[in-house]
Amino acid sequence: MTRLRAVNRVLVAAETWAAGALVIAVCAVVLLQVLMRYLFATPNPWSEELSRFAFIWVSLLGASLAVEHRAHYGFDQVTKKLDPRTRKAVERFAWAVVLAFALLLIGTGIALMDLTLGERSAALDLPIALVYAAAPVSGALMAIHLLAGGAGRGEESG
Amino acid sequence: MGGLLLGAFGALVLAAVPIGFALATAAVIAIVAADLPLVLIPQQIVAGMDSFPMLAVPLFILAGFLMDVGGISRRLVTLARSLVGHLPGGLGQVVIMAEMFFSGVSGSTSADAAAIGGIMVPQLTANGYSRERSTAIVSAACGMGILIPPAIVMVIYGVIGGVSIGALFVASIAPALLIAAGLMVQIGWQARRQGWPAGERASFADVRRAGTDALLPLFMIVVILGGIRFGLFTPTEAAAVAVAYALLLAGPVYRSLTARGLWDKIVQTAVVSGMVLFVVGAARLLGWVLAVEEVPQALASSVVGLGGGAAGFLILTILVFLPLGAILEGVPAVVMLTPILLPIARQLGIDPVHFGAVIVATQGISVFLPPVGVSLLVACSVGGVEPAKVARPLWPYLALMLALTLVIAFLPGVVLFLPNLLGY
Repeated sequence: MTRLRAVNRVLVAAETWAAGALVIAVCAVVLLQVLMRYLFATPNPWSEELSRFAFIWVSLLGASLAVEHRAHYGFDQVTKKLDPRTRKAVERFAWAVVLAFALLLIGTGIALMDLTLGERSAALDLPIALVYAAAPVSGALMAIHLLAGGAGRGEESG
Repeated sequence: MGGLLLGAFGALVLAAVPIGFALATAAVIAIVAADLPLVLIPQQIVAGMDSFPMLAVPLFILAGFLMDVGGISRRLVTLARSLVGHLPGGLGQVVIMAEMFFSGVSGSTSADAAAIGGIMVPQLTANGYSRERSTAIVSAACGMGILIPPAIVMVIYGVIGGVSIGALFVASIAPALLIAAGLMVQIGWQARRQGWPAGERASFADVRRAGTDALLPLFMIVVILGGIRFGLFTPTEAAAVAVAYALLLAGPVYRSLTARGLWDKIVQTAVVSGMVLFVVGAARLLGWVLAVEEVPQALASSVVGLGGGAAGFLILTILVFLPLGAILEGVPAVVMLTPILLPIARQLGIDPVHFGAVIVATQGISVFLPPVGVSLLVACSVGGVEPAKVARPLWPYLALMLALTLVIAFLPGVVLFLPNLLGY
């Protein structure tokens, strides 16, 4: 259990770093797109696609970070008023629902990568599977965050 | 099928399963029941995130975060104070005016409540306003502020509904001014009846000094709206320019941004993007499945079958949004309801820009609806009061805002006059 927590800490650090770097990249690429158009009068064919792909990764890494920080939009006004035992059971149920979906995201995400293996993007000629990879990675990170946090931490509040 | 899914979604939300996961789980149930392929799950979630216009969301959020550091909110409060501080209920008026300015540089209601509440609640209570009254005024101001561009929910409505974001931004200015003016008159009337203090009238030199101090932050909104209107850049590019502008102000100009502070805001932006876009992706997944089952069409024909026409539908929309916005938060409510309601609105001949302004105005009220509105809870934690106690002073403000929202709903000209004038 402590081992899992240690692994989780390292993953959260890496995830935070990657998500932050990608936000900077998205800003920089969109700004570059504006600059290129006005300074060099050359519309840039790849900037839109690159920023969209980076944004997909930002969103999915942000979604797994939001699981770690318990930041997802949620409504806890009813569970808060339950007696402690029922509340605990409901929280455990909610935790299990999120975990089940995270696991499903890993499996179906990998299946989708497998399906699209060979397809490449229009402007950058990148493998599409690289974009879809964000889904299973996000699912795996969510699952590890949930398992390391334990069911007691299952309730998410926004 | 639709009823079963709605029931499952509702039960999961009540059990405190996060909204995005509740939507996704309902979709999984539908996919399994309809024997559709499971790879739809990651495919549709990613498709929901794969949108260049949607990129404006994190960029506006980041720009707002950066404008919030560096005492920019304090400069805006000082300007508001020099302009309206001498009116009856002066400090209450200042809250409304300051939020109008601040909303123009920030994109999120809860951030506004924290920033404006953090500065104004101590000042209000020091001048004899109760904590409950102070929190209620801040809440009302921020509920109005949602209409002032750039607002995140407006970008989301525009992207999901395929409506011009530039037109939406411009269209919500008049409704915002109307509601702000209404609140200021109401506060002035309450102040006269109950003898709240007014501040001293600021000298012209003070106004000019405060105006100069606030000029650079306020210029950002001109850059955004002007740049979009004159086709210099798309809304997404405008948001990136806003980030660069805010970075310039907070960094070299005001020297209030540390590298650590900047990094924290960037990471916060990633997390908020994850929160918002996960709901968008999950809603898209569920929407896809529902469309296969032809649920929206069935819903539309039964709503149209109710009669009542456009007017009845606008009232229905407001009635649906009020509780859902309070429970689900504004962003998820707009994400979920736009694809269902907007096609019906179009069918009934309601202008999508007008419809968007009505939805955003309603949503501003809903997130402050006692006892569970999310932004109300933020304002209460800033104000240090119980939500139940804020309800009493807050209801009259919310009632006025609702009445003015109905005015906006029934007089489309109020909303559409400015975008029409500007040629949108």
